[in-house]
Order: sequence, then structure tokens, then C-alpha cells
Amino acid sequence: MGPYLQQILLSSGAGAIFAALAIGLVLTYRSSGLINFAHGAIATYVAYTYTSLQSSGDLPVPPLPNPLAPVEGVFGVEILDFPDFVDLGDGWNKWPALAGALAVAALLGLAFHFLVFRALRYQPPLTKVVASIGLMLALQSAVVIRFGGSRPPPIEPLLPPSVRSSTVDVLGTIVPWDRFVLLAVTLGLTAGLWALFRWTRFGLHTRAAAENERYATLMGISADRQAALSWMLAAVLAGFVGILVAPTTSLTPFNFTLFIVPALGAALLARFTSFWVAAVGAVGLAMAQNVLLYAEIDHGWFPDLNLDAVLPFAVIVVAMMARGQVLPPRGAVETGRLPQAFPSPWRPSLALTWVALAAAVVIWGPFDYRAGVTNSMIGAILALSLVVVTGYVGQISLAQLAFTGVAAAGLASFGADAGIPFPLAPLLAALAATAFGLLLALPALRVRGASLAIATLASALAIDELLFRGDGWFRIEGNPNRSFDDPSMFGVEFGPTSSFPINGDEIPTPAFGLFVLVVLVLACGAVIRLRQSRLGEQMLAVRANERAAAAAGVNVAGVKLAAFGIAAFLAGIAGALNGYKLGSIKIDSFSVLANLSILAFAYLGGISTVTGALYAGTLFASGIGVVLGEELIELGRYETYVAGVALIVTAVVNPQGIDGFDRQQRERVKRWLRRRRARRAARLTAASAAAGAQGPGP
Amino acid sequence: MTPDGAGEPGVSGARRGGSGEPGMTVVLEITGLHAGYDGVAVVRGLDLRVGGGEVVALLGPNGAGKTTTLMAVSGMASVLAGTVVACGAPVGGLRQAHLVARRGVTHVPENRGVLFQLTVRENLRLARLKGRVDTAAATDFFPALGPLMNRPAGLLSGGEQQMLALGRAILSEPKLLMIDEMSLGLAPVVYEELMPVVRRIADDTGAGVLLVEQHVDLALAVSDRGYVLSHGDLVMSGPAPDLLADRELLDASYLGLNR
Amino acid sequence: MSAASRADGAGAVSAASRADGAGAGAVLETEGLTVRFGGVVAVDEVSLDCRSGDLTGLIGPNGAGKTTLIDAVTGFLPGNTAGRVRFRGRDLTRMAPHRVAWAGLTRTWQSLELFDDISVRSNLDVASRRLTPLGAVRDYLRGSADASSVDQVLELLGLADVADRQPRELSQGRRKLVGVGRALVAGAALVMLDEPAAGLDRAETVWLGDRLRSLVEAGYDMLLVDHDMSLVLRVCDRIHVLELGSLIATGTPAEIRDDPTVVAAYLGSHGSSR
Repeated sequence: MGPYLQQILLSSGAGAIFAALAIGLVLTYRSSGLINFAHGAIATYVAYTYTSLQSSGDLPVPPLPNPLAPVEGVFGVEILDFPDFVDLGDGWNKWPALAGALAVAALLGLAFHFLVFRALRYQPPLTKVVASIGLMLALQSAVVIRFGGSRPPPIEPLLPPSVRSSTVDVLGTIVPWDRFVLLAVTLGLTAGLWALFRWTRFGLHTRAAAENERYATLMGISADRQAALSWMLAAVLAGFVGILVAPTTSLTPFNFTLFIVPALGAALLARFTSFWVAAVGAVGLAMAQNVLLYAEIDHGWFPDLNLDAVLPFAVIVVAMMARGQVLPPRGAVETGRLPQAFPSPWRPSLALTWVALAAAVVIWGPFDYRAGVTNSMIGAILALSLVVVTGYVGQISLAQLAFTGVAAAGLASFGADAGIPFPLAPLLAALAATAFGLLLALPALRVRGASLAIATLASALAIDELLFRGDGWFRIEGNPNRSFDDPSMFGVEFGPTSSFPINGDEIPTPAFGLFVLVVLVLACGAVIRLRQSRLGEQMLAVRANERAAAAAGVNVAGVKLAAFGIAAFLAGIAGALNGYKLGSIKIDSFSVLANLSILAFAYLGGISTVTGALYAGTLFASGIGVVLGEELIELGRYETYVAGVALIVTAVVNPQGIDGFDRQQRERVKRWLRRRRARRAARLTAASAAAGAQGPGP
Repeated sequence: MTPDGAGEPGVSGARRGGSGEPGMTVVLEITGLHAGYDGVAVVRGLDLRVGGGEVVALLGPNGAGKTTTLMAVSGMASVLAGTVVACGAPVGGLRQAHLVARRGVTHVPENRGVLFQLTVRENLRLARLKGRVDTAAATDFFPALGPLMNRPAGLLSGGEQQMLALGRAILSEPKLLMIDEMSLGLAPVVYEELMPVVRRIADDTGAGVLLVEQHVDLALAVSDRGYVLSHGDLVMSGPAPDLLADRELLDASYLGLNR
Repeated sequence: MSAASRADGAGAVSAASRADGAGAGAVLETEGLTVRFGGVVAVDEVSLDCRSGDLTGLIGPNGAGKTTLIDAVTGFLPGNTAGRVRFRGRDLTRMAPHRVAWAGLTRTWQSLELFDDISVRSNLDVASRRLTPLGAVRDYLRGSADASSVDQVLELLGLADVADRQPRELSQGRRKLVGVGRALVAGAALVMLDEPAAGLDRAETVWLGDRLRSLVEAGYDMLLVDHDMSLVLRVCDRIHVLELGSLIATGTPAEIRDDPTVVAAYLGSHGSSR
């Protein structure tokens, strides 16, 4: 029993962190109906601000756009220069530094509310989820830009040294004191929030607005002001927690975002309502994780399936399935719409032009461009999968990346291990992904909106942990050398190393790029066809209105299953292509962050159209858009930051994404041309009328 | 969208503008109101006025636009044309809706506006944004609420919820009180008891009351004046006794039997 | 108190109507249909029927439980419903909504609930055929061929000229018809219309009434729920009246018009307050 008790006691530190983040998530949800994926990033940013103030007295300024940049460029002068840091003297003492950092947090919270989430109040969950992902990316990259990503800075702990160095003996187990202090502080914060909501006018008004915003407004409560105050409070809470626990966890730009997943699990257990359940749930989760971890190490018979890492996801999925619509609905009206799913008319000339252009770049372009276009095409197929499931059916999926992983691993099993020949092996691999897609669709039959986003994210991470790590099915860790043969048909090879008459000695060779192009064209055609088919119509009907669709005889569950299946198949194809490109499976890219970014970039491109998916493809990591950004405007380290800000702007201003913006501009030009033509015609007729009037005169 | 249609001259001979007594403060003045949702007008060309201390009934079958009128006054439905001046200031859009309430307009909506997850006491505390709320004023009117103070409002019966809604409205000391379908889903015994309370509120506090009701007789029994809407148009208006006296016309315009 | 007299009145009227109709040709029958939300009984032991060839009316004051009754019959309240629903000889009790539609019983909503971002034609297309997994694949590969039923309904409702526009671009009256059309194309044997006249002005209401009547002549059976007594009395063949969840009267428009319990239910009892 001893070692288990020790594990339970030692886990109290991690439990405190999960709990502190979980109550922050509950706070934001209760006051503004938003699941804030950026909560951890706020904690990170504020903790870095504290360190900077404390160590050097420098206040970091987030990168700001310089509207005068073109003018400055032309005249070679510097008019406007935003500093990276504001120098506020030498290093501060820790308490003033804490106060300063928390003031920054409050300001950030206020800014987020007024600039972003206020405008999104009446928008559908997808828009809100995307905006919070954008915020997360922007904050994290701001930290990387200002402080560098690699070396964690020294951080001055808030707790006095006497607490930090002392230990306590609990039933023979030596436990550092500070774990208990952290736990006590967290529980204190929980009690504080609870009391705030229970006893104060602010809490009463927030609870009223959360239950029914309309009724609260009729009582004179400004839901806006409540949300602004809560955002400040949540940001300060996040910042304080970040500063408090950073010395224990070591401060990196990504740590707290990773902790968000177990925190989400705990918050879900609490139905995003009860602070106490969230806090206690988080602590319990951490304890269970530690115990499982120990069991895996201690007992040979206990399978090493990373059960400890899977546990939070299991908690999330079970909580979802058991409780149905987990999140309490808020009384707010949704008036915003999802982006419109324009049918893509088949314009052969335009399509041929693009295909020819892509082919040309893939064959003759320089290495960067060739690789960029190939990556973009694979990315576009992945984005197409989101067009089907999220764009057409309105189901938020954060699991598409997991399906690519399953397919890549399936390719290794079917192709490399079992020796199944080319077209069959990747197809089987994609079908394996489809099977997982159908499995993941099960939560979608019970929950929607942001709940579904969390459920799919959790499932994706669970698949990742169960299948790809430890003793999992594919056992990739420690077995990285499972390589694939190049694909070939009828004696022609078209893998990254296959020969090709032009540029055949470069890797990847044009053969592979052309192969991917063919697959992409097929995939686009298939999705365009889907949009026009009866099933596609039913998908849009389900997206527009599930109740009405059911009453019109649409089997809503069936349509959702079909969409998840098709989307997983497309993602699987993308995964298989990626496997061929790399020649082996790599799994380091499957993570929380990557899963979130995929959805975000697909949204940025335009989530409900095929064209939008093509745009999205250029935006994905190492796609052609990124290559161009690098070479033409030296975006460099600002890339993620710009992407995050662009996402937020897209969500707030232009939910149709780049594709929709593009359509709008084209419409505008067309209208302008039409007006001009009409004016000219009018002028002509007027002139001829005048001439006619004059004509018979003399 | 028909821009005209403010009152149908042929239908109502008894249409008299204005509140009864001269010098009475006007708490609500609606002129030429077109209101609705998503740009579709549900109310067309309504003129209506409520003075302080006066009970005005807004009658008509469902779908006639009564609720939309109230929503437009509290800033929740969009005003497409015309003006709404409530408690001395024009009503703005949804973003400013809470300001209307702060000026002294209390709106008891169709589903009573009671927050189920809050206790009775907490619901009553919502009546005022600042200062202490003395629940005694509410329990004076509705003694039945006294023992229920710590019960979540979701567990109350329909009648008790309506009492809570009215009690909260009284505590908010409104200048203009709007009550939507008080009798909805309640047994006759219950709403027949509640209706006179509305009269008492107007008499005791000097508030102007705009009462939306389906039960014509009950509503007119406690009202000074009445307006009858049908399909978004004003079809009758006048002092309550006159409306009641013209029973035939009232029934007909209400049930649309003559059309 | 007054409940007793009401029940008597209702009994008299429904007995009279039953005598002439003899219950023959009932498309839809409910037996003791009851819907409970927690402690609240929204629909209380309602047994009513719709006959083939009829436009049946269902009226009652606000809050009487009319919409709840439609929700229950069409399978949207499986957890709250007791009693039985029989439709064309089949038992639909607690069947899933899309299966109810497949059985030929469809509905509209007061709040329209159209598919806003697809064309009017697609709105109808969605409902026009039951899609099996195999059928979906076949349709995907071969393309949709038969659109005649959709065209027919579009023509019938006068929507043919706007078939390729989106519902939100249409007038309120025509949007209501899109909802009706969607319910019709599902091969419906009976359409339940929930407040189709709400939010329409008087001229539009008269126009809608004429359209509904012509649909009945064209062979569609319908149940019309509306608050507009004039509309219901003008176009319906037979009318059921609900109050506080109970069926208080059934009869022809003439019988209902003269039934004092109905007038009392609508206006509040004449005698009680004065």
C-alpha cells in the first residue's frame, strides 16, 4: 500500500494545477458560454510577463501590426516603432512584479472581451471555438517571439524558501510541503469563486445571465458588463495560477496548454457548472493517473498502454456518453450563421488552369516550392475531410489528425508488414481510419457544438496514446524504422524517390507530386459530387436544423455517421499520402496543438467549400503559402502569430474564411463591371437618342 | 409589409387617442410602430400610449403581435419603423436593452422571466441593481411567497412562479410595468385572483401598466383602456367600458368571426 | 365548478359529430395521449382523430397544448409521452421522428425551421425521398433522376418561380409555403400544420387559407393548428378544441362557432369576472 499512498500524495501538485485551470474554464463558461482553449496560454503569457518584470523590469509588448510599414518602406524611415519591451527599471521585487503581471492579465482579459468575444456572443459554437484557438496560437507565439521557445527562464517562486525546501512525513512517505501548499491555495481559490458566485451581486447576476440572458436583460442586467468583468477575473486567475505553479512545472510556452486537456475533463465532470466538482475532480484525476502510472511500472502483468495518459480522455468521453448533452445550455440566442456551403460549379477551364499550374510547379519548381505544393495538396485533402464533417454537417471534429495517424500506421501494417500491393494497402489503411471515424461519430449522436469538439479532441488523443505509444497496437516508440515501399502500379513507381525524366534526381521527385495531384483532383471531385448528391443535401439539412431534418424524414444519426465515415476516409487518404512522403511513420506531430490548428486553418481557408479546403491546404505547416510567406515577406517566426490573429479576425469579421472573402470581392468587381456597363449603355442610348432627336431636325 | 394600416377606420368607431386625464405623465408613447424579427414586421403601424397610474389592456388573438410589441418596448425586437419612447427616452437596439429596464420599465415576459436555478429570494434580489432589496413589499402582496424564500424557483407551481414574477416586478418599483399573458397555463382560480393585483399595483404605486391578455373580460375588468390587435393591425381601441359594451364587435374582431 | 359544464358541452358536441361521421376513414387516431413535463401535464388523455379527405382543425387558447400534441404525435417527445398513436392502421407510438415521416405523417413549425442555406428546391428534395444507405450510394454514383414529385408540389404551391432562391430571400407568406411543401413532398398522407398563419397579415392569411383548401381538394389530408379562429372556421371541415391540455369540444365549424364553452375558453369565461 505504501508506494500507492506515496503516488497519491505526490500527485497533489499536478492535481492542484489541473484544478486551478479547471475552475478557470468553468468560470469563463459560466459567465460567457465559451470553452476557452486559450486559458492555458493566458496563464503562460502572464507567467512570462511576471518573470520578465521580476528579473529585468521589462514589460513585454505583444507584436503589433505597423500600419505605416509600407510608407516607411518606401521612404526608408522609421516613423512608428512599437517596442518589444517597455523598460520599467531594474528587476522588481516579486510582489510588485506579481501585481504588475496580474494587471496585465486584467487588461488582456478586458481586451479579449471587447475586441473578440463580445462580437461573437451570438455566433455559433464553431466560430467561438475557432476564435479561442486563434487566441491560443497568438498568445503562445507571442511568448515564443518575445522570449524564445527553447530555454525555460528562471522564475522566482512566490512561495518562501522555507516552504519549498521542507518536507513532511505522512505515514512514512516523504512529501514536499509545497505540494500541499499548492493544493491548499487552489482549494482556497475554489472556495473564493464559489462564495463569489453564491453570495455576491456579481455572482447572482452572472448566474442569472447564464441561465437566461434575455430575462436577465429584462431585469436591467448588462450581460456585456458581466462578461467583461468575468473575462478580467478569469485572466487574472489564470495568470496567478501560472505564476504560482510555474516553478514546479518549469515554464515553457506550451506546458499549460497541454494541462488544459485534463482540466477540460474535470470541468466536464462538473458540467462546467460546479467549481467544487471541477476542483475535486481534477485532483482525483491526477491521483488516478499517478496510481495507474505506478501500476504500469510496478506490475509486469499490467499492460503498458499509457493508461495514465489515456485516463483524462476516457473521463471526458465517458462523461459525455453518460450524460448526453453535457453542457448546460445558455439562454442566449444564436443569431449568427455557419459559413455558407456554396455548391462548387464545375468550371473545367479554371480547374485545368490550376491543375496545370500545380503540375508545372511540381515538375519544374525549385525544391522549396515543389515540397510546399506537395504538402499543400496533402493538407487540402485533410481539409476536405473537415469540409464534409464540419462544413456540411456542422459537427466540430478535432480528431481528423488522429485518422491520418491511423492510416499511416495501417499502411505500415498492410503494406510493409503484410505485403499487400499498392492501391489496396492505402485503401485498406483509409478504411481502417474510417472504422475509427465511425466509432468517434458515436459521441456526435448525443452531443453537439463545443461539447462535441472536446469529445473528439479527447478521442483523438486517446487513440494517439493507446495505439501509437507504449505497448499500443502499432508500437511506434522504439520501432521507428518501419518504412514503406514507394507506391507503384503497372510497373510505374510514383513515390518520393521514384525516377522521373525531369528533375528525377531530386527528392521528392516530380512523380510523387503528380501522384498526389491526381489523388487531390479525385478527392475534390468526390466532395463536389457529394455536395450535389441527395446525401449532401441531407447533410446541409442536418446542419441547418436537426429537428426539421428529422421531421422531413432524414435519418439524422445515419447522416452524421456517414459524414464522419467519409471524413475519416479522406483524412486516412491524406495520412497514407503523408506516410508515403515521409517513407515511415512519425508521430511527434500528433498533439493537442496540432489537432486544434488543423480545424483552425481549415476554418481560415473556408470550412464549407471545396475551394476553401484548397486555400486551407496552402496554410498548413510547410505548405506552399507558408513557403511563400517565408520567402516573399520574411514572415519567419511571426508565422504562427499572424495565423492566430488572422483566425481571430476571420471569426469576428468574416466567418466565410478566405474563400468567402474572395467570393465577396469577385461579386463586388462583377457588380462594379455590371454597373459600368449599364452606365455606358445608358450613355450610349442617351447619346443615340439625342442624335435621333437631332437627326430629323435639320 | 404594408406601411399603412394604423387602425382600420371602419372597424372601430370608439378610437380615442390619449390617456384619460390631462397632466398625467406619459410613461410609454408608441407612434407608427412597425416591429418584428429578422426584418419581417409582425406589428404594423401601431400607435399606443400608457400614462402613469393607468392600466391599459393590449388584446387580440395569438399571433396578433402583442408580445412583439412588448419586446419592441424593451429593446428585444427590432423597430423597423416608427418610434417607441419609454420613460422619457427612445428605445435602442438589443445591445442597449438593459438600459430600458434601468429607466424603470419592468417586463414580465410570457414565460414569466423567473430564473429556475435561483431561489425565490435570489430572484427577488434581482429586482434592484443597487442597494438592498426588502422582500417585505413582495410578501405583502403575495403572502404565499413567504415560506418559499429558499426554494429554487424551478420547483414552484405555475401560480407561485407568476406570483414571484409579479412580486419581483413590484420590488423593482417600475414606472412602466408590462405583463405578458399572465394567465398562460394557469387554472382560472389562480389568475382570477392575480388579476386584481395588477389594478392595485397601478393604484398604489402610480405605475403605468400595459397588460397583454387573451382573456378579454378579465383584462378589461381591471383596465382603464384597451387596444385590440389582429394580425399586426390595430382594429379597436378605447375606454374599457366602451369596449365591453360593444360586445358583438369585440367578439367579432377578436375571433375574426365576421371575416 | 365550470369544468363540469364544459365537459358536458364537449360531450354533447363530440357525440353529435361522431354520430354523423361514424369514425370511418380515420387516418390518424390518438388514444389517451398524455404528455408530462415533470409535474406539469401539458396534454391530458387526449383522444382525437383526423379523417381522410378532411381538413381538420385543432384550436385552443395559447398554452392549451396544441404544439405539444403535434410534437408528441410526430415522435419528438419520446420520454414524455404516454398513450397511443395510430396512423393508417400502424402504431406510431414513440417511433423516431424520421420514421414517423417515412410512415407518411409530416409536420410544419410555427417558427418555420426551414433549411436556410439551401435552395427552396433542395428544401423539398431533402424530404422527397427516404434515403437508405444503398440508395445514397446509388444516387451518388448515378445522380438524382426523379424530381417530378418536387416539381409538382412547387407548381401546386406557386413556388416554381423561386425554386432556386434561398428561403430567406422570400416573403414570410411564401416561406410558410416552403415549410408546407417540404411536409407535402415526403409522400405525406397527413400533414400537421402548426400555426401557419402566425405573423401573416390579414390578406396573406386569406390567401394562405385558399391555398390550404386547394391542397385538400388536391387530395392531401391535413391537420391545421391555428389561433386564427376566422381562418380555421372558414377552411376546416371538422375542428377539435383543446383547453389546458384537454379536449373540450369536437364538431363542424358551425357547431364550434355556437359552442359557448369554446368562446369561453378563448375569451375567458363571460360570467366569472363580472
